[in-house]
Amino acid sequence: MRLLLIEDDVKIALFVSKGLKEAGFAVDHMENGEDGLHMALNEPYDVAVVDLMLPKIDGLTVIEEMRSSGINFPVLILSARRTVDDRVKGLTTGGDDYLTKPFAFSELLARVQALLRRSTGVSGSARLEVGGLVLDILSRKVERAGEAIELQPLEFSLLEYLMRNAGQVVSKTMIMEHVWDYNFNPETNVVEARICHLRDKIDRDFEDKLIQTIRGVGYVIKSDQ
Amino acid sequence: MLLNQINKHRNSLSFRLTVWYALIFTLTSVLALSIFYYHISKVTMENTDDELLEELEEFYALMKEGGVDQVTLEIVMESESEGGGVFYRLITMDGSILKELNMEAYEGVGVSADALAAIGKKEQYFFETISIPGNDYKVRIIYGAISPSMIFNMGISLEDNYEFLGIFRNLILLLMIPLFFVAAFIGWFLARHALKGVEEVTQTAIEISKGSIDKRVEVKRRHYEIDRLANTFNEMLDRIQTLIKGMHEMNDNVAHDLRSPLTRIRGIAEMTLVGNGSMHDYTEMAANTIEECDKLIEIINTMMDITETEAGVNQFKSEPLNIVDLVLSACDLFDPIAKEKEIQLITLLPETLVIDGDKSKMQRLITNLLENAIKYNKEGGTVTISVKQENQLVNIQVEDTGVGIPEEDLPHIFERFYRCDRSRSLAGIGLGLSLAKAIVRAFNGDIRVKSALDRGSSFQVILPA
Repeated sequence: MRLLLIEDDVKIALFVSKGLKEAGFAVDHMENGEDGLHMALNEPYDVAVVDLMLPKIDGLTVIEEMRSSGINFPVLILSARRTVDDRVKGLTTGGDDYLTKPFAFSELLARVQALLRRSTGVSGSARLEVGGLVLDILSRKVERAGEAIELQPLEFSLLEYLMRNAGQVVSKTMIMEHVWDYNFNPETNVVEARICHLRDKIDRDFEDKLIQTIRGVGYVIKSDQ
Repeated sequence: MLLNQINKHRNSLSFRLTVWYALIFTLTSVLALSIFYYHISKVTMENTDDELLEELEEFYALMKEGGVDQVTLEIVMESESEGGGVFYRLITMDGSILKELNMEAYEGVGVSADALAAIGKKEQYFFETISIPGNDYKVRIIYGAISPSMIFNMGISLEDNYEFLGIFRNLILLLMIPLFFVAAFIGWFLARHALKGVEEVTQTAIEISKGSIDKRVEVKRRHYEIDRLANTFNEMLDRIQTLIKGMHEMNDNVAHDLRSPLTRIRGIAEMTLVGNGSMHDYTEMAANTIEECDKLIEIINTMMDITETEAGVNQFKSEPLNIVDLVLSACDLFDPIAKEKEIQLITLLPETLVIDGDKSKMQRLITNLLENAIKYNKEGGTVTISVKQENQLVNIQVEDTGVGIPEEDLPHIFERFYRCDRSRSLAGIGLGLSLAKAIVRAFNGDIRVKSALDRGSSFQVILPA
């Protein structure tokens, strides 16, 4: 997958492209809007990550020019401004998603992948599997090593979200947003409590602990075997 | 010097008022005096005419009694006693002069044809005023028949009249100058007096802009307008002062609340770098940094949310919200936390209750109240959430059996960053209730609190349905 990153802050660009490369993307990084637009118009990318405040040509104009030239790959907007107005402006201009700085890299990756899934039309599978743990979305049944596990509806949603992003870290904010539909984080760590319960049901009796906590960053479901 | 002063004040209101006052006062005086002057000059002219008419009547009578000889004799006598200022003539009906006396100064004064015509038409007398070449003053002349064949003609120089009016005119002109200055002075005095209140407000404003925000304009019950200005000005200052104080306090608090996490981040990073850090130390440091950063971001975001909600920057999305669903979802969210502390969540809810509003804001309001109720509760306590609709109002009540809020803290708990001594030990940023209040206000509602120390608190939110 080829990804175009247009970002003038070198340090941000460095960790974003490093992370994206580790996740398997071929990343081209441009430091200003002019070069970025030139690349966008001439290279066949799959997705772009565009900062709004850019030298020479600002991000919104870049996206506008791209869209009016018939370039249709999805664009994730990065911005330090988080008012609803800015968000709406970014999305109506032709951006496909909007991420506010500072952001967790795991969230950026998840959003980029979601954009790709949407544009390539690959819908999520109805049956998710990680290290012997199987989750059937249609029948809403979960089993590990052939034994059925009873989950509450919210626990089911949480596990489904983790398994859809298997192998990738998801932050607490992302979980709050996708599982509870809350776009803020309560001061109390409500996600942690829920994850504990889920772990109890899924991992307690097994050597291979699937749900892992990455301190400070979030949670990941993966099999170490 | 004076011109400089005038130039400096040319645009000032008091200068303009003074000038206008002086001009209007002077012009009115000039008009009044002119009318007066006009009447005086008319009266003097009438006096002269009366004098001439008297003479005519006298000679008419004399003619009847003593004939031409008596008249001639009288003319000679009078002309001698009057001197050169008055001339006398006797004229026939066709205009030929029978006798003339004192004509030295009136050479060239002929017999007026108009006069002859008028008298020919049986008019009793005829007046005219003529100028004589080489003489500064005009002459007033009377013609009148004293017998069927004889006309008495007399002329009198208007020199005395002109002199009298001239003195009067000079007097008026002389008066005008001091009058203008007196008017200017009175005008200036009145303007100063009227604008004194404005000046006081200005002085106060100057002092305030130099830094003494405590200053206020004295309200002296002088004039309604000025007092109103002073009062309005003072009220505005009170409000500004409150705002500035609030901003100062908030700045201090923000600085404090940002400084503490930054100190922790920096300290731990430094210790890790300086010490013989193991891989584990570095991992710890990175994780710690992320956690602290998330806290900082949360503070910044929440502050922005409060400011935006208060200012109404983000026009609220308005969608139908089922309060009951939102409360249930919030309870579900906090259920594991409550269970950990063995706190019982009790809900008293109707089947459904829908109002219009922004979902995210309402979620936040309910979550903040519920979170506080659990956080400041005792182990084994209860939290009761009840939702009711009464008349046109929605009543959401969150009651806990926790530590309660000391009475002296109650008025401050909705202030940004305000944290009671008891809550300082617990994690949190002290913005939850400020945001809750801002949201309630944005919904045009109200939030109230009751609390008893060690018995619990009760927050009540009232929203228009």
